[in-house]
Amino acid sequence: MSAKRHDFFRLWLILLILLLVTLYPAWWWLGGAEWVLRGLRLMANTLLPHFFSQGISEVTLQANQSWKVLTGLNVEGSHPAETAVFFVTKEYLLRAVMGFPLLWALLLATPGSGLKRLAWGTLLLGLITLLGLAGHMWATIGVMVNHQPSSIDENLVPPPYRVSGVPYSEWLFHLSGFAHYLEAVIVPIIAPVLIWVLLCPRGVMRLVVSVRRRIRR
Amino acid sequence: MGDHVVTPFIAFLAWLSGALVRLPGGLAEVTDTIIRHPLNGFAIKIAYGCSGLEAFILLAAAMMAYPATWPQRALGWSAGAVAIMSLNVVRVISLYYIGQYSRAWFDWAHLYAWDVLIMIDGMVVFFLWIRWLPPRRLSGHVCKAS
Repeated sequence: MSAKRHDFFRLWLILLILLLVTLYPAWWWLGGAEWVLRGLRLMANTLLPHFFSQGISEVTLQANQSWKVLTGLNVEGSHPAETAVFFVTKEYLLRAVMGFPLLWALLLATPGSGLKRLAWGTLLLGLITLLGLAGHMWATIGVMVNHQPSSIDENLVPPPYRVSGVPYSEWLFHLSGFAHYLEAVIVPIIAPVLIWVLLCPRGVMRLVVSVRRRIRR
Repeated sequence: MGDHVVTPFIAFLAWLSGALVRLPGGLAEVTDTIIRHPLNGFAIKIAYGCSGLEAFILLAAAMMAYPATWPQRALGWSAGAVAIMSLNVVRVISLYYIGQYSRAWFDWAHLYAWDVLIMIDGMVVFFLWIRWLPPRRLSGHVCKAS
């Protein structure tokens, strides 16, 4: 029994690595990421205009796989009136969805994780990713209406033109920048692990116990 | 915080990576957080998200949440910092070379492979730290779960 427990963590780790080695190249090179991004773009186009009623009116897919976000903000001094747009690059989107293969590998490597958990996990991560992308768009709109670079991301700079719109207060501007930071750096990598712990508490507990038992021998 | 801690740390990371590239005879010039090849002009800039600090903070938080004494946690943090930072230096150096070879492979390694590897590194350190902790009386709940 002890030997079984002893091997549990090792087998889990080997299976996890094998799954990651299989899933990530497929995700990147065989276009798996693009299919998920299409679904997310549809969700973004349906849901985000309701959350940013004046900020976002449409999210469309470009030929280069980036997203074009049509805002409800008018470009100052434009005749006839033009609305401002910004783009979410393909590179940024690919990074936002990097957690899906990790989540699937963690769930598949852990005993007791059926298709139901896989489906729930994917849905949950999809919603969290969408929320993260909304945070990125929120920060981008903040940079546009305040017409100042993000205090956190030096790549997030205002466009050469000014837009109409009520500027964010200082704390709200920083909060939007922080939301963008969380979305870009923390969420893609930590969300899959948290969802895995949430969906497989017994499997995770078994892993912890298996490594602890080993030192008792 | 960023200007006083993270930026100098990233500059140190760039300096260390550049020094390690030059050690076996490689070519690299380091300016602040940028590592540049002096002949072909290829350069990488180490951004905030590439510092490895976020992975370390997550690992430290996990160790905080796990029942252990403060000296045990401090040892775990030290081991975690060494493990994550060492792998991060390998990441920077590998990306420096991969980028000169292929942009597509650079993107894949930069955006996906290395971030996941560092996360797995943190998880393995966490489990090894648990294994290293002295045996303690397991609660009834844990025994049932096993």
